[in-house]
Amino acid sequence: MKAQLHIYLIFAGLLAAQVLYAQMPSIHDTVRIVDVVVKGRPALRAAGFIRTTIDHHFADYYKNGTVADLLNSASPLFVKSYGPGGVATVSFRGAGAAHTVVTWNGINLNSPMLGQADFQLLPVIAVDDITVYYGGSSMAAAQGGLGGVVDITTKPDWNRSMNTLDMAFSTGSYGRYSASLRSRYGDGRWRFSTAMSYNSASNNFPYTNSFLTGYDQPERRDNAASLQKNLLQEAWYRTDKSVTGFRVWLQEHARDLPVAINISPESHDEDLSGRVVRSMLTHDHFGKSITWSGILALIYDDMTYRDNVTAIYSQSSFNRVSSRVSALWNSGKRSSVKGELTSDFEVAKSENYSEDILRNISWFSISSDYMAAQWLDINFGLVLPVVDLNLQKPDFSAGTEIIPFKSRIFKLRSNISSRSRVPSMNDLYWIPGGNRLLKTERALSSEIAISASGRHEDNRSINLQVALFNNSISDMIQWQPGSTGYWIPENTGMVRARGVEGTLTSKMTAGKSTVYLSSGYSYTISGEKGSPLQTIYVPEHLANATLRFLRGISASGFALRHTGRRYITADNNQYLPSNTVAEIWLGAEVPTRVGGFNALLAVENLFNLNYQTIAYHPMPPRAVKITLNWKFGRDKL
Amino acid sequence: MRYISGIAILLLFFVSCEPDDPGPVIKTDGNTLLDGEGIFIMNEGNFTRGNGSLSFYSADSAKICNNIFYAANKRTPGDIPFSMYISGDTAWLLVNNSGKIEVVNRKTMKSVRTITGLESPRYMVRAGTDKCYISSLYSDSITLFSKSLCSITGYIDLGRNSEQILISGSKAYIASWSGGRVLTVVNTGNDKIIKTIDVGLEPESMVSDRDGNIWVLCSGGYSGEEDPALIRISSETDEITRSISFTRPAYPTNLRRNNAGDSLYYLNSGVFRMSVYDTSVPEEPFIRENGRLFYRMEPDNLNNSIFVTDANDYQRSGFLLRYDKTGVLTESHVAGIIPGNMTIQRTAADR
Repeated sequence: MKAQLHIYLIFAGLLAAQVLYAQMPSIHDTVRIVDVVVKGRPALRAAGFIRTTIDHHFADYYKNGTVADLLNSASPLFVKSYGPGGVATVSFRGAGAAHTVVTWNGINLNSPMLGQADFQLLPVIAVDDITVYYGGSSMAAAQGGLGGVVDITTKPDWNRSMNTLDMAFSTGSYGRYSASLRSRYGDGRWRFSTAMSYNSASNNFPYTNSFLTGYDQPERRDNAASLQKNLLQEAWYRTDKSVTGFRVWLQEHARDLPVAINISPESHDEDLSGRVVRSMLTHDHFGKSITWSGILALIYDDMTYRDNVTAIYSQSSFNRVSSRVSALWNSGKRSSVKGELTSDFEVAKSENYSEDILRNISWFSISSDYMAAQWLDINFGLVLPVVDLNLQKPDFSAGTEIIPFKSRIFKLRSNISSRSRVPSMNDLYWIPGGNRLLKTERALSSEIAISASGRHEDNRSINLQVALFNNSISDMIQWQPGSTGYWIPENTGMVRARGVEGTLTSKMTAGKSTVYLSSGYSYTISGEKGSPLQTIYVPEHLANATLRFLRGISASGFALRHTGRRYITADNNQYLPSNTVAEIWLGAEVPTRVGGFNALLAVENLFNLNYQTIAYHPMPPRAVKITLNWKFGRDKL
Repeated sequence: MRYISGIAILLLFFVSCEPDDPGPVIKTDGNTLLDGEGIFIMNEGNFTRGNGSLSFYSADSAKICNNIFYAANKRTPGDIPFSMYISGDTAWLLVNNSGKIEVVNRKTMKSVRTITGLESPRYMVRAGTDKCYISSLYSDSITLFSKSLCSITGYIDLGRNSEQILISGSKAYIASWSGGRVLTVVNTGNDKIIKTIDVGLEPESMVSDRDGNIWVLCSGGYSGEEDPALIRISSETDEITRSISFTRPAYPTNLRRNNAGDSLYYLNSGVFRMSVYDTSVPEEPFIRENGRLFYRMEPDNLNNSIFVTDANDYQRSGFLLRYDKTGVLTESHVAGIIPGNMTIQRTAADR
């Protein structure tokens, strides 16, 4: 046992890999078999495609945080952040932030104006599951995710105790305060969930600035405060054959925008604030062989930008009505076919548009899984996009999954896909610079992966996956200075990203102790076709490893995240050096008569590393965070 | 347990030994070619990315040195190094989006002082023995600067932004480019506004000719609201004496003159040249772009050359191009990202 534990730790150290959870189920400390009929939204198996679900232990740890914090530690995605509370974007496998689509229960949350989402505005408390769709698998989730899709979902947990209340409070260095509350209540027919969160931070951390004047000047981060409030109310009603759901998500946010530290702070004083209202009505009907699903969502999102030095005040907003109807037909155990019709109507207003912009993006998709043999699964998909009543070039996908041995320990997946992304409204209509002649971007992707999983009795399991990927994006949109001095977006040539990803997860229990290992590594080469230069801000090497120890009421862990060199100029003459950031935490969970209480002490950036993820935007030094969590109500099962 | 502790210590050692250097790190050529005759090139870099730099082209050796500021100071000059003013052995680098001026030794590029607290500084010109005017893209004021004190001494409230400044006698002609259409005339003796002249939309650049006239190039606005135009103003009366329109589409920029002051040059998808006595603009360029992207230009008649920067694709390094007086390309050198304004450094005998 000791020798095997050593082997796991050595492997973790050597790999120094990035966390990626394979398609095997998340590791739970206890597996409960429930004798109830669970009706959730069905999905195709999507043979051959890679999608992963973030481990719920990570979600618990980041309860008072944001999805950006969670993905940064628990996924192979590259999170680019302007600092705590600042704008955070996510990119897949060398693609850009605009190539990542975020969906909420299947509805696109990306701004149609910017074409991307800010992950810092997605609180973990409002999320039950996070599924990451890589490359071609994103077609199953949304249109336009040339890199991939991050799908955040909330769902009724029909198996849990009828009433639970979960409250958490965190405080940390540099003026961080968070509070959250999640209440679930109802009976066997009705289920309700109320979630609220409050996050504020001063982010006034110290750093040394040698970039502005040439002398090492101790400074404190100024104009970096952030505030975010969320309320999510959900309700579900189920019958024997259907589930109807209603959700409303209200959000207010405000953040100061700190300047780069090579810019004199007197010359800028900017802030950004906004409000979001998202509502959604869903209905799923479970027939004998066909499941029908419908979604209607309304989204309102506004944003105000202010620069108090230049007296620039800019407001923008968008409304989106999203609707989706889908039918999943299961023909026995061998095959299933899904047809889906989705339509987004968007209206955007901005002082930088000559008029309000109205746009409709619709698409019809059909996909199928077919089990050709016990060892062979095949998947096909086709999407027909229509933009403002103009039919676009179709997207397609195809995948296979092979299980070569009867033991089913090994799986071989492969897939190929062609997907498209429509230019954002800012790309097309921004004044000055918008270019109405822009073409749709297209990505041709392929990947092949081999995975292995093993379980010994109930106290040891291991999952290993290695994937090779290739993603070529043509007509990529880039903003460049034009002849008039203003920047304009243009379709440039082809950008190609390829590489390898490896993940290893393991769990081992001995007596009262349990050890979890999560690790992963990715190597990505990304650049213009024919050029040896790496795309800016795409690290070649990305890795992390997390060890968690549970024993009795105590829980502790240690995490490392390594980000390789990132070039910040297209000619690769300037770069940010690599960095490895460590974190450690200690906690205890005490069950009580009515639920439980746990406390967690975490030390972030343990070795006080001075580093940047975006040039000239320092990240916080060593910081301490304390989280207290009360739970009321027990699982009856 | 010992093995676990050992591995944990090994991991911790691996992490703790990582060099504490947030970067960015820049590859340099070295900076040994700063004296003698040549051209300083302000490579603007990409907005907010802080990847601007300085280059020096030596006319003596026909070589270029890149990243000379970083090589001397182990840090970048800042975000959008835009223009340079040289006086004696001191150079002032105006770093636009960093809101500062780097004061450096002209021969070594070593930073002597950094002046912060400016609002988007663009150009610096001498307006007196010790006094300089600094224009601003965002502020409504001209900043008064003392070279000897190396500090800000006051402001002139224009009520609008400012771009190029041209000194003619005891008057300063200040163009309001971004969204503006006015030249403000200021008495450099008492720093008072004399008058304003409506010259047309977005006066982008200015020169004076051999007869003392002021020539202003107006772009006509980003959306082409007006025809671009060349405006001639009498420096005696401050009245417009000639207006030459361009036929759209045209995006002329970067008005310059030769040493004799009898020829004008400008960029418009090529280098154009005309006499100051012409009453219309030429139809054909003097130097064609031939697939390049001309960004800035500096005629250097002392060396019978015209220097032009090629911005390439605005993402990767651009080029410094040298053409002879007949318009033939004679040299091409890799510069920094978006090579912009150029400042000619002459030897003492030539100054």
